Amino acid sequence: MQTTVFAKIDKPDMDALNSELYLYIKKIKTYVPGYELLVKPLFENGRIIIMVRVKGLGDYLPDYAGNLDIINCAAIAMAEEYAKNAKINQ
Amino acid sequence: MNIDRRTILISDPTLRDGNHAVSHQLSVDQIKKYCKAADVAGVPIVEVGHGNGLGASSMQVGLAKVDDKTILKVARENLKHSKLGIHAIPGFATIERDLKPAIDSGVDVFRIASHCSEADTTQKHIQFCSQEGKTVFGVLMMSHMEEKEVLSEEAKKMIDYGAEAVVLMDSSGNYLPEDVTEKITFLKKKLSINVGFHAHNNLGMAIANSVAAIQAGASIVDGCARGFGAGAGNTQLEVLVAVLNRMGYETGIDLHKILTAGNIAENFLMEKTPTISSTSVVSGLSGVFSGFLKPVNRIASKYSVDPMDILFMLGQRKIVAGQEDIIIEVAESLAKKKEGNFE
Repeated sequence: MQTTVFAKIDKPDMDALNSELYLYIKKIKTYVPGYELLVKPLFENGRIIIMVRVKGLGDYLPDYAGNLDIINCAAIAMAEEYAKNAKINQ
Repeated sequence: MNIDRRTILISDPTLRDGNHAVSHQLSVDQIKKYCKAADVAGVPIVEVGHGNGLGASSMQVGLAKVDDKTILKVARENLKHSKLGIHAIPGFATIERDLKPAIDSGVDVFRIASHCSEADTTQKHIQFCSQEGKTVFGVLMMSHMEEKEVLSEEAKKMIDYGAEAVVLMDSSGNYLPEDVTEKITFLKKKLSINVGFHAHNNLGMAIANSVAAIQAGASIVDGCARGFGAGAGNTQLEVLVAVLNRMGYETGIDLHKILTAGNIAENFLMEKTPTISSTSVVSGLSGVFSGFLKPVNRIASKYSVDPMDILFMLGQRKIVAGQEDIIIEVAESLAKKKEGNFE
């Protein structure tokens, strides 16, 4: 899956956006391995443009179906967290 | 609409396709002026709107200066005889937000468009307009990308949904006259429906292709004043009317008055009259939508890469209209490659 995000911002702080985005991508990559920044933030024609791509693992569905994989990845990450807490509570 | 064999129905998208050439910045005053001129000349259908049709004003394909409702209102007030037409691509245009208000604004002709292999997406929109008693044409865009058999299947779907005719668009200006002849002849033979053709001039073939379409049985053709349209421009309306007059076809358009309308368009609508730039030739050859030209040039200069390289790569990847964001991805990858070469 590939997604382009546009945002209309008059005076964007690109440095702040870049460092914040870097942290987020790093965090998401810990549980969605196929998540990547395809086009780093660009200010063009009065809009900010960011492109991300999610490549699936290709277990059951083709690897282009990253839009479905990202849901499964999030569910697994949630289940792992739940399991960790369940152990502690026992 | 009954169309006699020797009568050609001309639809004029100067104020819709031309909007591509000025990044969708046509003003109320410009719309008013050209509508009056086209109306007086007897143009049967005047199509208006954002370059990508109703509801398309967006950061993806460009924000329009004037909103759809105002465009339609101004056009309606200034068209006494001409029918008012719109272009609508399901996805950009929705029934509730766009088609219903367009009917209320007095639109007569609804041209519902999709990529040439995706007619399924037009079903609800065509059915809705047809049930409302409006004239509906199906439009297959980027039609150079599929063989005649596929186009015929897709056209049949549109007719089954309720379209009165199907228009093939050469959105990239890629066709040669023999391609037009082959496809239009096949559609006419296979489906016996009203067929239309919308030409782009990237390879200098717009008039020749429109004539080829008519000779193969098309009864609807599109033409724009001075060819005002995306990239290299479209079929030049004044020339088309003159040529059809010589060939003995009836268009209902007054030649002298349409020549005047051409002058008005040149003086009041365009920053410059469309020319076949080198990048437009590449766009035609590689089969990339002509509407990409402005954003490609802009983004190429932003990344300091050659717009022709971007177009070749977009063509290889078979990118279609609506995928404008990919221009940026391709430009960035070319810029990265360029940087890499210097290291």
